[in-house]
Amino acid sequence: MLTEESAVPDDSADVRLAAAGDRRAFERLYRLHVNRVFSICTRMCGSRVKGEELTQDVWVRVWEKLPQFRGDAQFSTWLHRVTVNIALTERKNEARSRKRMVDDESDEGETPLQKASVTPGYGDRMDITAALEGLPAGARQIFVLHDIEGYKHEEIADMCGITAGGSKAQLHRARLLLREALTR
Amino acid sequence: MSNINLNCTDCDELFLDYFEGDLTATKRAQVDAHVAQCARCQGIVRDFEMIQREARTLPDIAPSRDLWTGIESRIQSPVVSIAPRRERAPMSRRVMGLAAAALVVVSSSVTWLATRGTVPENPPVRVAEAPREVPAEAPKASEPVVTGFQSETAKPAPVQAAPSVKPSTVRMRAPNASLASNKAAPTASELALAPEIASLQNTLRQRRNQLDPETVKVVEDNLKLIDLAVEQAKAALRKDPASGFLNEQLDGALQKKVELLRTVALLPSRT
Repeated sequence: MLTEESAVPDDSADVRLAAAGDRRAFERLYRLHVNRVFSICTRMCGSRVKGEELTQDVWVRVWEKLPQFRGDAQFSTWLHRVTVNIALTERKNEARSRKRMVDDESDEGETPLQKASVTPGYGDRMDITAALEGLPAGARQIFVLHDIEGYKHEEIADMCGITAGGSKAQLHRARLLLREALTR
Repeated sequence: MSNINLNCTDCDELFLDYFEGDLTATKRAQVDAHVAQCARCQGIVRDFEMIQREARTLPDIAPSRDLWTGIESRIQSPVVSIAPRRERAPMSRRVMGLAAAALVVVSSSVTWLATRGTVPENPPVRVAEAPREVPAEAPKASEPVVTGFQSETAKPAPVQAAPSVKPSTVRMRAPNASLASNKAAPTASELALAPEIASLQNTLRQRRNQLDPETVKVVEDNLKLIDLAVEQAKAALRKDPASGFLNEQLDGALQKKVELLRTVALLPSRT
Protein backbone atom coordinates (compact mmCIF):
# COMPACT_ATOMS: atom_id res chain seq x y z
CA MET A 1 0.00 0.00 0.00
CA LEU A 2 1.29 3.45 -0.84
CA THR A 3 2.07 5.49 2.24
CA GLU A 4 2.89 9.11 2.76
CA GLU A 5 4.90 8.93 5.94
CA SER A 6 7.86 10.72 4.41
CA ALA A 7 5.72 13.67 3.31
CA VAL A 8 3.77 14.17 6.55
CA PRO A 9 5.15 16.36 9.32
CA ASP A 10 5.63 14.80 12.72
CA ASP A 11 2.23 14.92 14.37
CA SER A 12 2.91 12.46 17.16
CA ALA A 13 2.70 15.11 19.88
CA ASP A 14 -0.69 16.27 18.70
CA VAL A 15 -1.85 12.67 18.41
CA ARG A 16 -1.01 12.09 22.08
CA LEU A 17 -2.71 15.31 23.13
CA ALA A 18 -5.79 14.64 21.06
CA ALA A 19 -6.05 11.11 22.42
CA ALA A 20 -6.15 12.66 25.88
CA GLY A 21 -9.05 14.88 24.88
CA ASP A 22 -7.29 18.02 23.68
CA ARG A 23 -9.60 19.40 21.00
CA ARG A 24 -7.15 22.04 19.81
CA ALA A 25 -4.59 19.34 19.11
CA PHE A 26 -7.28 17.34 17.34
CA GLU A 27 -8.12 20.34 15.20
CA ARG A 28 -4.47 20.64 14.21
CA LEU A 29 -4.51 16.99 13.14
CA TYR A 30 -7.68 17.66 11.20
CA ARG A 31 -6.15 20.61 9.34
CA LEU A 32 -3.04 18.61 8.55
CA HIS A 33 -4.84 15.57 7.14
CA VAL A 34 -8.27 16.74 5.99
CA ASN A 35 -7.43 16.97 2.30
CA ARG A 36 -6.14 13.42 2.24
CA VAL A 37 -9.28 12.15 3.93
CA PHE A 38 -11.54 14.23 1.70
CA SER A 39 -9.78 13.00 -1.42
CA ILE A 40 -10.30 9.36 -0.51
CA CYS A 41 -13.93 9.88 0.49
CA THR A 42 -14.82 11.93 -2.58
CA ARG A 43 -13.13 9.63 -5.06
CA MET A 44 -14.60 6.50 -3.54
CA CYS A 45 -18.16 7.81 -3.42
CA GLY A 46 -17.94 9.89 -6.59
CA SER A 47 -19.45 13.03 -5.11
CA ARG A 48 -17.91 16.05 -3.44
CA VAL A 49 -21.05 16.65 -1.37
CA LYS A 50 -21.07 13.10 -0.12
CA GLY A 51 -17.33 13.31 0.30
CA GLU A 52 -17.74 16.21 2.73
CA GLU A 53 -20.29 14.26 4.75
CA LEU A 54 -18.07 11.22 4.93
CA THR A 55 -15.07 13.35 5.82
CA GLN A 56 -16.90 14.65 8.87
CA ASP A 57 -17.95 11.10 9.77
CA VAL A 58 -14.32 10.01 9.54
CA TRP A 59 -13.08 12.68 11.92
CA VAL A 60 -15.83 12.04 14.43
CA ARG A 61 -14.93 8.34 14.36
CA VAL A 62 -11.25 9.17 14.71
CA TRP A 63 -12.03 11.28 17.78
CA GLU A 64 -13.92 8.36 19.31
CA LYS A 65 -11.27 5.78 18.54
CA LEU A 66 -8.10 7.80 18.99
CA PRO A 67 -7.57 6.61 22.57
CA GLN A 68 -7.29 3.09 21.13
CA PHE A 69 -4.58 4.08 18.66
CA ARG A 70 -1.47 2.34 19.92
CA GLY A 71 1.05 4.34 17.92
CA ASP A 72 2.73 1.26 16.48
CA ALA A 73 2.07 2.68 13.01
CA GLN A 74 2.02 6.19 11.70
CA PHE A 75 -1.13 8.09 12.56
CA SER A 76 -1.59 8.86 8.85
CA THR A 77 -1.61 5.14 8.06
CA TRP A 78 -4.19 4.43 10.73
CA LEU A 79 -6.26 7.42 9.62
CA HIS A 80 -6.10 6.18 6.04
CA ARG A 81 -7.49 2.82 7.06
CA VAL A 82 -10.31 4.35 9.10
CA THR A 83 -11.21 6.53 6.11
CA VAL A 84 -11.30 3.64 3.69
CA ASN A 85 -13.40 1.55 6.08
CA ILE A 86 -15.95 4.30 6.50
CA ALA A 87 -16.15 4.89 2.75
CA LEU A 88 -16.65 1.17 2.16
CA THR A 89 -19.27 0.93 4.89
CA GLU A 90 -21.13 3.87 3.42
CA ARG A 91 -21.24 2.20 0.05
CA LYS A 92 -22.47 -1.05 1.57
CA ASN A 93 -25.20 0.85 3.38
CA GLU A 94 -26.21 2.59 0.18
CA ALA A 95 -26.24 -0.68 -1.73
CA ARG A 96 -28.34 -2.27 1.00
CA SER A 97 -30.80 0.56 1.00
CA ARG A 98 -31.18 0.33 -2.73
CA LYS A 99 -31.50 -3.47 -2.44
CA ARG A 100 -28.52 -4.03 -4.71
CA MET A 101 -25.88 -6.71 -4.60
CA VAL A 102 -22.60 -5.53 -3.09
CA ASP A 103 -20.64 -7.24 -5.84
CA ASP A 104 -22.18 -4.73 -8.23
CA GLU A 105 -23.58 -7.20 -10.75
CA SER A 106 -26.63 -4.96 -11.02
CA ASP A 107 -24.49 -2.11 -12.33
CA GLU A 108 -24.08 -3.91 -15.62
CA GLY A 109 -27.15 -2.23 -17.02
CA GLU A 110 -26.05 1.31 -16.15
CA THR A 111 -24.66 3.69 -18.68
CA PRO A 112 -22.14 5.36 -16.42
CA LEU A 113 -20.35 7.23 -19.15
CA GLN A 114 -23.48 9.23 -19.81
CA LYS A 115 -23.46 10.40 -16.22
CA ALA A 116 -20.09 12.08 -16.48
CA SER A 117 -20.49 15.81 -16.25
CA VAL A 118 -17.00 16.49 -17.55
CA THR A 119 -15.41 15.09 -20.66
CA PRO A 120 -11.88 16.34 -20.51
CA GLY A 121 -9.61 16.38 -23.50
CA TYR A 122 -7.18 13.55 -23.69
CA GLY A 123 -4.27 15.72 -24.64
CA ASP A 124 -4.52 17.65 -21.38
CA ARG A 125 -3.75 16.27 -17.97
CA MET A 126 -6.29 13.60 -17.29
CA ASP A 127 -9.07 14.70 -14.97
CA ILE A 128 -9.43 11.27 -13.47
CA THR A 129 -11.28 12.55 -10.41
CA ALA A 130 -14.01 14.02 -12.57
CA ALA A 131 -14.15 10.92 -14.76
CA LEU A 132 -14.47 8.73 -11.65
CA GLU A 133 -17.87 10.25 -10.94
CA GLY A 134 -19.25 8.53 -14.01
CA LEU A 135 -18.09 5.07 -13.08
CA PRO A 136 -20.29 2.42 -11.51
CA ALA A 137 -19.80 2.47 -7.77
CA GLY A 138 -18.09 -0.91 -7.48
CA ALA A 139 -15.63 -0.31 -10.30
CA ARG A 140 -14.88 3.16 -8.99
CA GLN A 141 -14.24 1.85 -5.52
CA ILE A 142 -11.78 -0.81 -6.72
CA PHE A 143 -9.97 1.65 -8.99
CA VAL A 144 -9.53 4.14 -6.17
CA LEU A 145 -8.30 1.50 -3.77
CA HIS A 146 -5.90 -0.15 -6.23
CA ASP A 147 -4.61 2.43 -8.68
CA ILE A 148 -4.87 5.56 -6.50
CA GLU A 149 -4.43 4.32 -2.95
CA GLY A 150 -2.15 1.40 -3.76
CA TYR A 151 -3.91 -1.51 -2.10
CA LYS A 152 -3.25 -5.00 -3.41
CA HIS A 153 -6.08 -7.11 -4.77
CA GLU A 154 -5.88 -9.47 -1.81
CA GLU A 155 -6.28 -6.55 0.59
CA ILE A 156 -9.17 -5.16 -1.44
CA ALA A 157 -10.83 -8.54 -1.51
CA ASP A 158 -10.59 -8.69 2.28
CA MET A 159 -12.00 -5.25 2.77
CA CYS A 160 -14.79 -5.53 0.24
CA GLY A 161 -15.82 -9.10 0.83
CA ILE A 162 -15.05 -10.18 -2.73
CA THR A 163 -12.45 -12.41 -4.35
CA ALA A 164 -9.11 -11.20 -5.64
CA GLY A 165 -10.26 -12.25 -9.08
CA GLY A 166 -13.38 -10.16 -8.70
CA SER A 167 -11.24 -7.20 -7.70
CA LYS A 168 -9.08 -7.63 -10.83
CA ALA A 169 -12.12 -7.84 -13.05
CA GLN A 170 -13.63 -4.68 -11.55
CA LEU A 171 -10.34 -2.85 -11.93
CA HIS A 172 -10.03 -3.79 -15.57
CA ARG A 173 -13.58 -2.66 -16.16
CA ALA A 174 -12.87 0.65 -14.44
CA ARG A 175 -9.79 1.29 -16.54
CA LEU A 176 -11.66 0.52 -19.74
CA LEU A 177 -14.48 2.88 -18.79
CA LEU A 178 -12.07 5.59 -17.73
CA ARG A 179 -10.21 5.24 -21.00
CA GLU A 180 -13.46 5.66 -22.89
CA ALA A 181 -14.41 8.71 -20.83
CA LEU A 182 -11.01 10.33 -21.14
CA THR A 183 -10.55 9.77 -24.86
CA ARG A 184 -13.94 11.00 -26.04
CA MET B 1 8.97 -19.62 -28.98
CA SER B 2 5.33 -19.81 -29.96
CA ASN B 3 4.17 -19.25 -33.56
CA ILE B 4 0.66 -18.38 -32.55
CA ASN B 5 -0.45 -14.95 -33.82
CA LEU B 6 -3.05 -13.33 -31.66
CA ASN B 7 -5.72 -10.97 -32.93
CA CYS B 8 -7.39 -8.00 -31.21
CA THR B 9 -10.22 -10.09 -29.79
CA ASP B 10 -7.72 -12.53 -28.29
CA CYS B 11 -5.80 -9.65 -26.73
CA ASP B 12 -8.94 -8.07 -25.33
CA GLU B 13 -9.55 -11.27 -23.39
CA LEU B 14 -5.97 -11.42 -22.21
CA PHE B 15 -5.44 -7.78 -21.31
CA LEU B 16 -6.84 -8.20 -17.79
CA ASP B 17 -4.22 -10.80 -16.88
CA TYR B 18 -1.62 -8.99 -18.99
CA PHE B 19 -1.84 -5.83 -16.93
CA GLU B 20 -1.99 -7.81 -13.70
CA GLY B 21 1.16 -9.73 -14.58
CA ASP B 22 -0.68 -13.04 -14.44
CA LEU B 23 0.15 -14.30 -17.91
CA THR B 24 2.73 -16.97 -18.53
CA ALA B 25 5.91 -15.81 -20.22
CA THR B 26 4.79 -17.43 -23.46
CA LYS B 27 1.38 -15.83 -23.49
CA ARG B 28 2.84 -12.44 -22.59
CA ALA B 29 5.25 -12.67 -25.48
CA GLN B 30 2.37 -13.44 -27.85
CA VAL B 31 0.47 -10.37 -26.66
CA ASP B 32 3.58 -8.22 -26.97
CA ALA B 33 4.07 -9.47 -30.49
CA HIS B 34 0.52 -8.48 -31.47
CA VAL B 35 0.70 -5.11 -29.76
CA ALA B 36 3.88 -4.30 -31.62
CA GLN B 37 1.98 -4.62 -34.90
CA CYS B 38 -1.46 -3.23 -33.90
CA ALA B 39 -2.12 0.51 -33.42
CA ARG B 40 -5.45 -0.14 -31.68
CA CYS B 41 -3.96 -2.46 -29.06
CA GLN B 42 -0.90 -0.20 -28.73
CA GLY B 43 -3.31 2.59 -27.83
CA ILE B 44 -4.98 0.45 -25.17
CA VAL B 45 -1.66 -0.47 -23.57
CA ARG B 46 -0.42 3.13 -23.73
CA ASP B 47 -3.64 4.55 -22.26
CA PHE B 48 -3.82 1.97 -19.47
CA GLU B 49 -0.24 2.68 -18.48
CA MET B 50 -0.89 6.43 -18.51
CA ILE B 51 -4.06 6.04 -16.38
CA GLN B 52 -2.08 4.08 -13.82
CA ARG B 53 0.72 6.66 -13.79
CA GLU B 54 -1.71 9.55 -13.39
CA ALA B 55 -3.68 7.75 -10.70
CA ARG B 56 -0.57 7.17 -8.61
CA THR B 57 0.33 10.85 -8.65
CA LEU B 58 -3.09 12.42 -8.22
CA PRO B 59 -2.91 15.41 -5.84
CA ASP B 60 -5.16 15.68 -2.84
CA ILE B 61 -8.29 17.74 -3.22
CA ALA B 62 -9.66 20.13 -0.63
CA PRO B 63 -13.25 20.45 0.54
CA SER B 64 -15.12 23.48 -0.74
CA ARG B 65 -15.60 24.71 2.83
CA ASP B 66 -14.14 24.33 6.29
CA LEU B 67 -15.70 21.21 7.80
CA TRP B 68 -14.26 21.72 11.27
CA THR B 69 -17.29 23.52 12.74
CA GLY B 70 -19.57 20.60 12.00
CA ILE B 71 -17.05 18.12 13.32
CA GLU B 72 -16.43 20.10 16.48
CA SER B 73 -20.13 20.33 17.29
CA ARG B 74 -20.45 16.57 16.97
CA ILE B 75 -17.47 15.69 19.12
CA GLN B 76 -18.65 18.07 21.83
CA SER B 77 -21.73 15.94 22.26
CA PRO B 78 -21.29 13.16 24.78
CA VAL B 79 -19.86 10.13 23.08
CA VAL B 80 -20.40 6.74 24.57
CA SER B 81 -17.36 4.67 23.79
CA ILE B 82 -18.10 1.01 23.23
CA ALA B 83 -14.50 0.06 23.79
CA PRO B 84 -12.67 0.42 27.07
CA ARG B 85 -10.01 3.09 27.14
CA ARG B 86 -6.47 1.85 27.12
CA GLU B 87 -5.49 3.81 30.21
CA ARG B 88 -8.15 4.14 32.82
CA ALA B 89 -7.76 5.75 36.22
CA PRO B 90 -9.79 3.98 38.91
CA MET B 91 -12.83 5.94 40.06
CA SER B 92 -12.21 7.40 43.46
CA ARG B 93 -14.46 5.77 46.04
CA ARG B 94 -14.81 9.13 47.68
CA VAL B 95 -16.06 10.64 44.42
CA MET B 96 -18.56 7.83 44.05
CA GLY B 97 -19.68 8.30 47.63
CA LEU B 98 -20.18 12.00 47.14
CA ALA B 99 -22.10 11.29 43.97
CA ALA B 100 -24.39 8.97 45.88
CA ALA B 101 -24.87 11.64 48.53
CA ALA B 102 -25.85 14.11 45.85
CA LEU B 103 -28.50 11.71 44.68
CA VAL B 104 -29.80 11.43 48.21
CA VAL B 105 -30.02 15.22 48.40
CA VAL B 106 -31.98 15.35 45.17
CA SER B 107 -34.30 12.55 46.08
CA SER B 108 -35.02 13.88 49.56
CA SER B 109 -35.83 17.32 48.20
CA VAL B 110 -38.16 15.88 45.63
CA THR B 111 -39.79 13.70 48.29
CA TRP B 112 -40.34 16.67 50.56
CA LEU B 113 -41.82 18.72 47.77
CA ALA B 114 -44.17 15.94 46.89
CA THR B 115 -45.35 15.26 50.45
CA ARG B 116 -45.36 18.70 52.08
CA GLY B 117 -48.58 20.19 53.45
CA THR B 118 -50.18 23.49 52.51
CA VAL B 119 -48.22 26.56 53.48
CA PRO B 120 -50.35 28.82 55.77
CA GLU B 121 -51.51 32.03 54.13
CA ASN B 122 -50.55 34.21 57.06
CA PRO B 123 -47.31 32.97 58.52
CA PRO B 124 -46.26 34.91 61.59
CA VAL B 125 -42.71 35.36 60.41
CA ARG B 126 -41.11 35.38 57.02
CA VAL B 127 -37.52 35.80 56.16
CA ALA B 128 -37.18 38.27 53.38
CA GLU B 129 -34.06 38.53 51.31
CA ALA B 130 -33.58 41.52 49.15
CA PRO B 131 -32.48 40.52 45.69
CA ARG B 132 -29.02 41.65 44.90
CA GLU B 133 -26.93 41.68 41.80
CA VAL B 134 -24.00 39.32 41.84
CA PRO B 135 -21.44 39.54 39.05
CA ALA B 136 -21.39 36.38 37.00
CA GLU B 137 -18.57 35.18 34.79
CA ALA B 138 -19.61 34.11 31.32
CA PRO B 139 -18.69 30.44 30.75
CA LYS B 140 -15.92 29.74 28.27
CA ALA B 141 -17.25 28.76 24.87
CA SER B 142 -15.28 25.55 24.79
CA GLU B 143 -16.09 24.44 28.31
CA PRO B 144 -19.33 22.87 29.40
CA VAL B 145 -21.50 24.92 31.68
CA VAL B 146 -21.58 23.11 34.95
CA THR B 147 -23.59 25.44 37.04
CA GLY B 148 -27.01 26.55 37.99
CA PHE B 149 -25.55 28.74 40.70
CA GLN B 150 -25.76 32.32 39.54
CA SER B 151 -23.04 33.75 41.68
CA GLU B 152 -20.29 31.33 40.74
CA THR B 153 -17.52 33.50 39.46
CA ALA B 154 -13.83 33.41 39.12
CA LYS B 155 -13.67 36.31 41.51
CA PRO B 156 -15.09 36.08 44.98
CA ALA B 157 -18.50 37.61 45.37
CA PRO B 158 -18.30 40.72 47.55
CA VAL B 159 -20.21 39.31 50.47
CA GLN B 160 -19.23 42.13 52.77
CA ALA B 161 -20.69 44.65 50.38
CA ALA B 162 -24.07 42.94 50.30
CA PRO B 163 -26.67 45.50 51.20
CA SER B 164 -29.15 44.40 53.82
CA VAL B 165 -28.72 40.70 53.26
CA LYS B 166 -28.27 38.96 56.57
CA PRO B 167 -29.14 35.36 57.16
CA SER B 168 -30.77 36.05 60.50
CA THR B 169 -32.82 39.05 59.40
CA VAL B 170 -36.47 38.65 60.10
CA ARG B 171 -38.97 41.13 58.86
CA MET B 172 -42.70 41.22 59.09
CA ARG B 173 -44.25 41.28 55.70
CA ALA B 174 -47.78 41.66 54.56
CA PRO B 175 -49.55 38.35 54.28
CA ASN B 176 -49.55 36.76 50.89
CA ALA B 177 -46.82 39.09 49.73
CA SER B 178 -45.34 37.48 46.78
CA LEU B 179 -41.84 36.30 47.25
CA ALA B 180 -41.66 34.63 43.94
CA SER B 181 -39.25 35.95 41.42
CA ASN B 182 -38.18 34.39 38.25
CA LYS B 183 -34.56 34.50 39.34
CA ALA B 184 -33.71 33.00 42.73
CA ALA B 185 -31.71 35.29 44.97
CA PRO B 186 -28.64 33.67 46.52
CA THR B 187 -29.02 32.61 50.11
CA ALA B 188 -26.57 33.36 52.87
CA SER B 189 -25.02 29.89 52.53
CA GLU B 190 -24.55 30.38 48.82
CA LEU B 191 -22.93 33.72 49.40
CA ALA B 192 -20.61 32.29 52.02
CA LEU B 193 -19.53 29.34 49.88
CA ALA B 194 -19.51 31.17 46.56
CA PRO B 195 -15.83 32.13 46.56
CA GLU B 196 -14.61 28.62 47.30
CA ILE B 197 -17.03 27.01 44.83
CA ALA B 198 -15.95 29.45 42.12
CA SER B 199 -12.28 28.78 42.80
CA LEU B 200 -12.74 25.00 42.80
CA GLN B 201 -14.78 25.06 39.61
CA ASN B 202 -12.05 27.08 37.98
CA THR B 203 -9.60 24.39 39.07
CA LEU B 204 -11.84 21.72 37.58
CA ARG B 205 -11.94 23.57 34.28
CA GLN B 206 -8.17 23.91 34.22
CA ARG B 207 -7.60 20.24 35.11
CA ARG B 208 -10.25 18.82 32.87
CA ASN B 209 -7.87 17.56 30.26
CA GLN B 210 -5.60 16.02 32.89
CA LEU B 211 -8.28 13.84 34.39
CA ASP B 212 -9.83 10.66 33.13
CA PRO B 213 -12.70 11.77 30.89
CA GLU B 214 -15.10 9.28 32.45
CA THR B 215 -14.33 10.65 35.90
CA VAL B 216 -14.88 14.17 34.61
CA LYS B 217 -18.22 13.15 33.14
CA VAL B 218 -19.37 11.54 36.38
CA VAL B 219 -18.29 14.59 38.35
CA GLU B 220 -20.04 16.97 36.00
CA ASP B 221 -23.20 14.88 35.96
CA ASN B 222 -23.27 14.87 39.74
CA LEU B 223 -22.59 18.57 39.95
CA LYS B 224 -25.64 19.03 37.79
CA LEU B 225 -27.62 16.86 40.17
CA ILE B 226 -26.44 18.92 43.13
CA ASP B 227 -27.26 22.15 41.33
CA LEU B 228 -30.69 20.77 40.58
CA ALA B 229 -31.15 19.92 44.27
CA VAL B 230 -30.05 23.44 45.17
CA GLU B 231 -32.52 25.01 42.79
CA GLN B 232 -35.33 22.77 43.94
CA ALA B 233 -34.62 23.61 47.58
CA LYS B 234 -34.49 27.31 46.75
CA ALA B 235 -37.73 27.13 44.81
CA ALA B 236 -39.37 25.43 47.76
CA LEU B 237 -37.85 27.98 50.14
CA ARG B 238 -39.41 30.80 48.18
CA LYS B 239 -42.79 29.37 49.07
CA ASP B 240 -41.86 28.39 52.62
CA PRO B 241 -38.88 30.46 53.69
CA ALA B 242 -39.19 29.43 57.33
CA SER B 243 -38.65 25.77 56.63
CA GLY B 244 -35.72 24.52 58.65
CA PHE B 245 -35.68 21.30 56.65
CA LEU B 246 -35.31 23.10 53.34
CA ASN B 247 -32.62 25.34 54.67
CA GLU B 248 -30.73 22.30 55.90
CA GLN B 249 -31.18 20.61 52.54
CA LEU B 250 -29.86 23.65 50.76
CA ASP B 251 -26.87 23.96 53.06
CA GLY B 252 -26.20 20.26 52.74
CA ALA B 253 -26.28 20.35 48.96
CA LEU B 254 -23.89 23.27 48.86
CA GLN B 255 -21.53 21.55 51.27
CA LYS B 256 -21.65 18.41 49.15
CA LYS B 257 -20.80 20.47 46.10
CA VAL B 258 -17.80 21.95 47.86
CA GLU B 259 -16.63 18.52 49.05
CA LEU B 260 -17.00 17.03 45.59
CA LEU B 261 -15.05 19.85 44.00
CA ARG B 262 -12.34 19.64 46.66
CA THR B 263 -11.98 15.93 46.05
CA VAL B 264 -11.73 16.43 42.29
CA ALA B 265 -9.12 19.13 42.74
CA LEU B 266 -6.95 16.61 44.57
CA LEU B 267 -7.40 13.72 42.14
CA PRO B 268 -4.18 12.59 40.45
CA SER B 269 -3.74 13.38 36.77
CA ARG B 270 -3.91 10.61 34.23
CA THR B 271 -0.48 9.46 33.04
